[in-house]
Amino acid sequence: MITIKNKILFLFFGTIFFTFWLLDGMVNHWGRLSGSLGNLITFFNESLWPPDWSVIKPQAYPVCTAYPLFDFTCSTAWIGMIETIKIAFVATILGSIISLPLSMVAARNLNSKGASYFIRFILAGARSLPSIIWAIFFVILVGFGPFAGVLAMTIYTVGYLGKLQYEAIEGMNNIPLETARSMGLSKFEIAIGVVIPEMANSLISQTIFMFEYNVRHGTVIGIVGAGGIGYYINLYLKFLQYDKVISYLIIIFIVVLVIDFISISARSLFNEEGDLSKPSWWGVFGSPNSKK
Amino acid sequence: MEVCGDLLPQKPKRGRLGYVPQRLGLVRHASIMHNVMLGANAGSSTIFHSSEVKKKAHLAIERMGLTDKILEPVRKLSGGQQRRVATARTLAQEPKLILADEFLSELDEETMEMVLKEVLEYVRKSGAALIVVEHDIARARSMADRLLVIDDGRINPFIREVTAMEIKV
Repeated sequence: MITIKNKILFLFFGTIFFTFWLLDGMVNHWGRLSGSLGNLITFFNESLWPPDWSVIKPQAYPVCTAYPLFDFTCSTAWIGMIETIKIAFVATILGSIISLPLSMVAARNLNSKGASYFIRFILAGARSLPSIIWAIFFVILVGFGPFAGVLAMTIYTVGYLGKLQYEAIEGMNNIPLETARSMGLSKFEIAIGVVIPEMANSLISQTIFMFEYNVRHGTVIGIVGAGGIGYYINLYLKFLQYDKVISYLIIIFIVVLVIDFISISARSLFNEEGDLSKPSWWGVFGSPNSKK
Repeated sequence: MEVCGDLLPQKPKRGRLGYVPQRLGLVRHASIMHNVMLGANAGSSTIFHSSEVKKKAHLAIERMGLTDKILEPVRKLSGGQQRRVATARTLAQEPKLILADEFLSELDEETMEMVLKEVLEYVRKSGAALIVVEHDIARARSMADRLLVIDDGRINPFIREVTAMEIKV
């Protein structure tokens, strides 16, 4: 007799077998793995390590006019990272301004099926392409530089944040909406007077999360010429200067950790009860809601 | 059946129907003033807050004895206070018909009397109709002109007037 336990075991081992069968189909020669650890060690020792920290030294041109203690602000790492953060910030704010009204229309508990599906279609289109592909489009449209990056990340933010927002709105308690409708308030009044105040905490929290997400993803759009630190990474990759690339990657890692921490702290101010709960620094590595 | 000049199930005109649901339907993260302003605004023809609308909201809050907490977020209030906010919202709206579902529950005796007095005074002055769902028959009797007993999901045609004896049963 086939018991439930046997069915689960069969499903488990069947999935594992299927996965390895697919993997085997994609690997033409397993022997290639044999030298990979040695390759990695050689690459690490000869090309990556030690990192070349000249990337945080001021550039030769233009001449740095900053106070000597702050001359790192003239370095490519600083200029690139600040530009990435600026792109992420502007794109998050513009994206959230555009996505909020769209998500109000897309929420099924506020609007008809027709209007909702139309907006959902647009939002799905905006997020179906990763921001780096949007960046390629906008580099073609408006040329190299951070403006293309801002446009690309704004479009992606609208798609991604819009989805988070309309799902949050659909999850809200229906009774305040029902009451507002029975009083005869218009859709606009319901959106402004009921939905936004009731959902403000999660909307703000999602926007902060989106900023954090945009900083992380903003580091790669520079690779296609859309501004930010990715531009310098791409430059040194082309010249095979991996020791400089690893310095940029370490800087990105530290900045992303710091922004993650700020994001967790800021989002904790906007929890369900709106009361301050002290975030823990190791929350950066785990769930955003992890507590001491 | 005609409600507020419209035949049911048509949607009543703006501000004509006041609704106090059992689960209140308040915007929990907003202040008392914000919630009551929603009602006051529904009662006016414009979506912009005029000084008159604000005055109505202040008056309704005062009637419910919540003036000292006017800017307090609703989520921080007790169950009884939240119920008074929902009633204030409806009073500020000045509707022609009020549907109130258990609007006196969770209130202490004194507050209940005060809320009931204010609501009945509004009904008397404005000539509005008040339909209340109430499980406490004695309390329902104290405020109603007509009483319908819903028994097992249906209106019981034999119990139109509830007598003191039936209450004891």
